[in-house]
Amino acid sequence: MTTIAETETPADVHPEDLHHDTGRSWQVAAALFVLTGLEVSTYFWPHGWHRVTHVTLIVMMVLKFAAVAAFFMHLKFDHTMLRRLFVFGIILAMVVFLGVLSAMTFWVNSGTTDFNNAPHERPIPPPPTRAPTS
Amino acid sequence: MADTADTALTANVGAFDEPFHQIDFAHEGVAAGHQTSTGISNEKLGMWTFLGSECLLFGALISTYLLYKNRPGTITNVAGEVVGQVHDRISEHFDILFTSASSFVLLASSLTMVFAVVAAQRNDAPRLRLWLGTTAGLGAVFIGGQVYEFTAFVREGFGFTTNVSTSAFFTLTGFHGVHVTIGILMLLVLLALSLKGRLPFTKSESVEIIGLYWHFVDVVWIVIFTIVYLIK
Repeated sequence: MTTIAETETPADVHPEDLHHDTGRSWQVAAALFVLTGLEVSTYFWPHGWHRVTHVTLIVMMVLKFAAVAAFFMHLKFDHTMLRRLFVFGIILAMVVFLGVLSAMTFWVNSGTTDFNNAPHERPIPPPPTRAPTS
Repeated sequence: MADTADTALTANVGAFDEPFHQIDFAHEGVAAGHQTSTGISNEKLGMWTFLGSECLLFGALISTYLLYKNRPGTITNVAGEVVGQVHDRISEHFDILFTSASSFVLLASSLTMVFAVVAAQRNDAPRLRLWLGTTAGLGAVFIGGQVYEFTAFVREGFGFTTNVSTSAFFTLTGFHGVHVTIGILMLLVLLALSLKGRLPFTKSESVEIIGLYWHFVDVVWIVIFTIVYLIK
């Protein structure tokens, strides 16, 4: 008795059947390196640009994540069920922990200079003075 | 119609014309294990399910770090002397260029892992060993960088129990480092199996599955690098 896998020899494998295309992998890796370089450059952008910097960083992070998952992990070409399984995990994690962060008032500006710092301690008011009795 | 049914019946009977005692049930079981109703092997499905659940683990650790990263606290060195002010945070002591170099190393290791999977699928054992070794080596360089970074932080007075901010930081990055270390060990096991000739072409999916784990470790670092190190 022989199995399908045993009867299949390397000669039966066509290049188009291979999961990963080496040339495309180089292109994806080059794009990842460029995006990472851009990410690092944002660290030296002026402090006043922090809103633009944060949005840019999040967008580049999502692009890099998607590129690795789609091409290196082969999700773009693999079975749809695998993609759904992984995306379900990501969405579940995001929903749960965005909920946790909201419950912990992460998004509320505490009024301090730095976002999410603990609020300043309010000075204890002096005790009320009594009017002198005559 | 009746002829067609008879032919099908004959064909089915013909499938069992091999003597019962000569059927290799153990081998059949192995083959049947790969024939799932979804067309995906159980091992691969299991790895993807595991990776989906890992999203929750790292989501919890990243959320905890976000909550506590700016919380003030007294910072002492290992001798117990106060070395930091209330607003002196571990995030202000990051060496971004050093960590960026580590990030490039981990990204490069993902590329070499892709080459290892391609070599396994092409039954190219020498290249498979080369790329498995290179990937494990790059992973080891990343871990070495993390150990150096942690050592530098401890010397500056940022220990695991200094305050909640440092605890959250070391837990998150430490858990990632443990994942990388486990990945290196799995790569070395694959390399040893290949050197012993026990990683045939029929088991190339094992390389792909461990590659999935390695790429996942890389995507987690992509998130950590942005959220922990780059967003001020």
